[in-house]
Amino acid sequence: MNVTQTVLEFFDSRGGLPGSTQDEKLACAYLDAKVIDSMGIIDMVSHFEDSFGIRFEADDLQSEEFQTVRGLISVIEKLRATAA
Amino acid sequence: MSQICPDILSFPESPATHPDRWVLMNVHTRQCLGAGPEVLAVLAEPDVVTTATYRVWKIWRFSHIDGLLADPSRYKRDAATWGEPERVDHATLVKMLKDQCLLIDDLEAYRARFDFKKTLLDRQRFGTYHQQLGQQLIAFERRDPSAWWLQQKFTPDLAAIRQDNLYGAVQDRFLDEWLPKRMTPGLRVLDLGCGAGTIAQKMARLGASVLGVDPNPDYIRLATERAEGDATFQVLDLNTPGALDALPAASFDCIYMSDALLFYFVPYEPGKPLDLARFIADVKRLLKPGGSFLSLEPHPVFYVQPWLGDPSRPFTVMTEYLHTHWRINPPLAVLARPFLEAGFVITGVEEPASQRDNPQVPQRDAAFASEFPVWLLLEMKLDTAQA
Repeated sequence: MNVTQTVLEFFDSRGGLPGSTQDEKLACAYLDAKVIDSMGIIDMVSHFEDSFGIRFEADDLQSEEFQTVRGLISVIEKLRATAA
Repeated sequence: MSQICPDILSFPESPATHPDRWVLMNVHTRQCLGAGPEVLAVLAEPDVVTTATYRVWKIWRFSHIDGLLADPSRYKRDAATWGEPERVDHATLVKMLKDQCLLIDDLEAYRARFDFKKTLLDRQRFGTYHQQLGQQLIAFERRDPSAWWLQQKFTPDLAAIRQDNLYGAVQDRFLDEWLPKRMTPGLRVLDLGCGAGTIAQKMARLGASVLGVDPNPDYIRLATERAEGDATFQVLDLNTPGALDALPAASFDCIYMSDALLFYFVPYEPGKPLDLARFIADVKRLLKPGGSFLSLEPHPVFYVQPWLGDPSRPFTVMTEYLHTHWRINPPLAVLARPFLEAGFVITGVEEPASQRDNPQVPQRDAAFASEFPVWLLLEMKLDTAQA
């Protein structure tokens, strides 16, 4: 499963990320940009955990990395590598 | 350059049995670390690198997960439960001290962190009590906050108030003693935010004619199933403007509200205040002449204060009162003033306390609540001289 594609599709289903290029979309701080609100975080986290068979730890969720789409993808990829 | 954070306390947790196990606590952020006394020298001179080994215990825990009336001190109590220490070098120790805001790099940057959290995942900003609770429950523990609210106060069947924490040892005990002085047969009572009707039922058993309202249909269904005596329940969300309009004017001798008025002063969501003026106008409209508004709320001073010191003689420290950034309840004058300005007079004040020894709750809980009231009851009537 392509992580980047799955993550971008998720954000598309939630109203889409700002930016016209993929690079701009990946750079988006989706929480600051209010693409996902506070309660939506839980929905998002469960969605990715189910989709990728991973489990985010509290430290993952609170990391700087987790705040941008690109960082989020990187966290997911690392967790998948560990789980595999 | 590192510096000691000016907001910290250090104290022994169990000096009689473990005199070498200290708590280092940031009283504003309520972070902490267990430490051997040798760590104190590092706080004093953090940049002096040594080759020594230091003992630390990771004792921080979000103790409010056990309930609003559980130990608010946020660390693992009783040094005997701390286990073996981690033995760390100077650099590791400094990092651990910084993680808990016991050492800081820059006072201004640290002070800037005292701000509302932007999201549930925001660990940079310390946020309010409610934000911290939401973060812990929703983001980290993945628990349903509404279930948590109930579990911490009521028995699993929601039929009674738990007796193993201060809801039982203080609130329930107080109501059992005090309500019979106020509830008389036929007294018409409105219980605002009645939950599953536990307190409304107490009033009905004393002969009052009670209407309980709550926004949660599940609670109202449960309350209705269990209703005995003259108690009825209906779904009604006080946060919906005009929600109380359907109730006839001058129809209640008594309006009771517990653990809910605070949200009109310190909103659950920052920046989204509820309409207090409208609420007070509703209370005035619904009360019969000579009727009372009874408000049993978290105590403006002592609620969610840390319980420090010996379990048999706890003390506390205050970090804020008039200007609340973290706390969840208003100062006393702020609580009372809008009612006084609206024509109410305060006719009764109670500060419910625990018995000093109560075998159903831990010694520290009972001792703290026997000295420092964690609830405040205000009884108010419309000033007939003005009216």
